Amino acid sequence: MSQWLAACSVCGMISAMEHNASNDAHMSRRERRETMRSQRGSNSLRQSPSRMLRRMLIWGGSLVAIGLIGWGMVELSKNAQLPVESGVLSVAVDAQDNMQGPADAEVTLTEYSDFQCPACAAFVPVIAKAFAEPELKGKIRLAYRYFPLSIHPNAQLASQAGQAAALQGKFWEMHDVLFEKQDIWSPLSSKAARDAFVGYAQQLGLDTGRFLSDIDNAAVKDRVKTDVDSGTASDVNSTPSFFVNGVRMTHPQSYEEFKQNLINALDANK
Amino acid sequence: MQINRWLIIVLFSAALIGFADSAYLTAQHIRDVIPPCVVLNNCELVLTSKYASVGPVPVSALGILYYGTLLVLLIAYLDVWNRRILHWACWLVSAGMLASLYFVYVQLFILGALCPYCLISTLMTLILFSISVYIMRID
Repeated sequence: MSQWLAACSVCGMISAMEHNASNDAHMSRRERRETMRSQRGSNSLRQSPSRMLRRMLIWGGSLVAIGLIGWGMVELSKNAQLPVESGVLSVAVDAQDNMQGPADAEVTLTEYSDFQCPACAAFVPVIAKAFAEPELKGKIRLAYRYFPLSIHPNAQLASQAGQAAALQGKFWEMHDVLFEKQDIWSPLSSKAARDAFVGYAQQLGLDTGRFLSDIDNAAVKDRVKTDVDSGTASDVNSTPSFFVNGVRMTHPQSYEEFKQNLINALDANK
Repeated sequence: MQINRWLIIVLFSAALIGFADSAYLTAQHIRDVIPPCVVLNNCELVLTSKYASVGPVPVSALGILYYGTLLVLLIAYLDVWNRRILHWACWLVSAGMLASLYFVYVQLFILGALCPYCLISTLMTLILFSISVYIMRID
C-alpha cells in the first residue's frame, strides 16, 4: 500500500528532523541532551551541507509524499471495484411489466431497481434526461422491475406500494413520489412507512381503501417476487441494474456513457 | 517533558492514512460516479446521504483539509520544534474527534448504516485524539 510506504519514508524524515531539535530555543538543556542521546548512532544526516538545505528537503520531501498519496488515491478510485456485470435478461419484457414509452420503441431499457436505494433515486433524473435527448426521444421505453434489496428494510413494502398503485393505473406517479420522498420514508419503522405510502396514494388520488388491501395482497407480493426471481436469474446483485434490449449494461460511470450505451443500441438496430 | 519519537511517528502515520482515505472518497465524489446499491454493502447509502456533504462541499473534502492541515502542523513541529504548534494540532484533533463522533452518531442512529471508509477515518482520529490527550496531559 502506497500510504504505508509513504509512512515509512516519513519515519525517516522524522529522524532527520529530530536533529533540528537541538537548535531550538524552546527546549531545556536536559531535553536537548535527551534528544541527542536518542539520536546517537543514526545521525547519518548530520553531515548535510546546511540546515537550510535540510529544512527544504524535509518540507519538500513531505509535501511530495503527501502529494503522491493524493495522486495515488485518485488513480486507485478509478479502478474502484464495481459488481460483476454481465449476462442477459432471463425473462423478456412483456405486458405484465410496468412500462413507460411507446410500445413499438426500438430500444427497451429494463431497470432492476429498489425504491430505497439512493443510487436508484439518483438515476431517476439521469434516465429522464437521456430519454429526452433528441437522438432517443420517442424511440426508447423503460421497463421497471422490482428488486428490493434485503439491506433496505422498507424496500419490499415500497415495491408492494408501487404495484398496488399500478393496479389503479398510477405506477409511475407512485414511482416518482417514492423516489422523491425516499429520505423521508426510508428511516421510518415499517408501520410508519406504510402510513406514509397510504398518504402518497391519497395525494395521487388513489382509492386508499383498495390500495391498503392491495399492498398486502398475495398477488401483489407474487408480482414483486416474480421480478426479484427474474433479476436473480439474470445475475442481478446490485441496483440499479440495466439491460438494453436484453443485454446487461455495465454500470455507467457518467451520464455520457449511459446515454451513449442507449444510442449504440439504437444504432445496432439499423 | 520529552515526547517519545514513536508517538510522533504514530501521529504522522494516522494523519497520512486519514488523508489517503479522504482523498480516495473525494476523488470518487468528484468523478460523480453513482455507486450502485450492492447486497451486503451500505457504503453508498452513507456516501450519498444528505449528511455526506455540507452544502456543495463533500465531507471527505473537509477530511482532506483536516488531515492536510494536521500533517503540515506536524511537519512544522518537527522543523521548528515548538511545542505550541503541537498544541494547535491537538486542538485541531479535538475538533476532528467531535466531528467524527457526530458522523458515527449519524451512521448508527439516523442512517442505520455503517460505511467502512468512514470508519477508517474515525479510527484514525480516535488514535490521534488519544495521543493528543496524552500530550496535553504531560504538558
